[in-house]
Amino acid sequence: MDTQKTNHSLLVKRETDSNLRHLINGIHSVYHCNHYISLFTQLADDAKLLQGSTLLANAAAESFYEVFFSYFQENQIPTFQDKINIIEQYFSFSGLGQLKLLLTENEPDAGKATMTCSHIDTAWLKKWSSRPEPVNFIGHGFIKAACALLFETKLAAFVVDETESIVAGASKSVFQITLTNCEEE
Amino acid sequence: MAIDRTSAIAELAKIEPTANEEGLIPAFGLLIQQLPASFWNNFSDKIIQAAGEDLYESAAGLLENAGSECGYHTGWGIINSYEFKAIIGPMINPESAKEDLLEGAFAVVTAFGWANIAITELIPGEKMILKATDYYEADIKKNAPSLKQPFALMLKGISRAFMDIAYGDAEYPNGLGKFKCEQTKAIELGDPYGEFIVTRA
Repeated sequence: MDTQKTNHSLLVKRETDSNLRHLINGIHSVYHCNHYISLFTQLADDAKLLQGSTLLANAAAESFYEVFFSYFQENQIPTFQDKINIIEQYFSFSGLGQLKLLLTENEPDAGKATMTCSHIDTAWLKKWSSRPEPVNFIGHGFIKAACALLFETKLAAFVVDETESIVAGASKSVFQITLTNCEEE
Repeated sequence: MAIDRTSAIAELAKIEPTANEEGLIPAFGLLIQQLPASFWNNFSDKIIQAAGEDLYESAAGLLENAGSECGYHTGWGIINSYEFKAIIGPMINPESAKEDLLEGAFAVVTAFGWANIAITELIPGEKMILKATDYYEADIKKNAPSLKQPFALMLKGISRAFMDIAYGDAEYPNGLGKFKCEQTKAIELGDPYGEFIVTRA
């Protein structure tokens, strides 16, 4: 087992199991490339009749929720801001870019997130080109998972709306986060 | 073939690409990420469920296509990387270079944790049979016990893409799509291992 501490406080435990699977903090994780993630995103975007972008965001939200939940159970993270730091560091550690969560403890009603660098947008731009509509459905899911963990709600409690996108030419992506009354999964 | 698979996997597994100051992971001429395997399975399952029987072939085909493009571009990047040349290069016999290269590429697939998969039969340029004793796509059986179709669409795509790299009629990046792959056994459907047969399209 290889244990390393990143610049701030995200603890990363890397293990390889008997099937040669890679475990990061006990969660099986795999490398994939910009082509693969772009084609998943394109498939989700094209499947509008099936609400593909929502399916992709939900898939991301469910998986990242498990990652954060497991991490916070294993490690004593003392404060709300420390948890935010961990989530932001995990985002970068995973290769997804740079995320800043602008959230206030006990005030889940409205928040904001920004990405000054986004793997999803960069991958899309490398493979195709800019477009006016957002493509970062996986980022939406990541932010939803973070908010659900931080405010101890269900995943469906938050709506994430991307108002500025790197893929559309903005210098950073901006996400507005709204708490809804929807508590159904 | 001359590849010492066990040794190759052990050495390749030591490669741990890490994120730069922008939170991106450049590796093998690409940008990569390291995400939970459950995420990839989760979306594939959701889109296939939403597609239903009528649109199954389309959805599965697009997921396999994502795997093939990933395998083609990432595979090309990996076999041309310094790390691959340093580890696998000395094991390659010039007389069986393409076959050794293929075996080395599947050692990478195993070392990177996608699948414990190896070639069991190879007719150069024509046919390849692969056996996978473990692969993350098989984990779907935990969430979808009533699964009716094989689910290893990423592995199908990667397997045929690697044949394109080795024996495609055109040089990279123009040689994708000359081979097809069938999954004939599936752990996710109760078989003891996964089996993949690649032939000319």
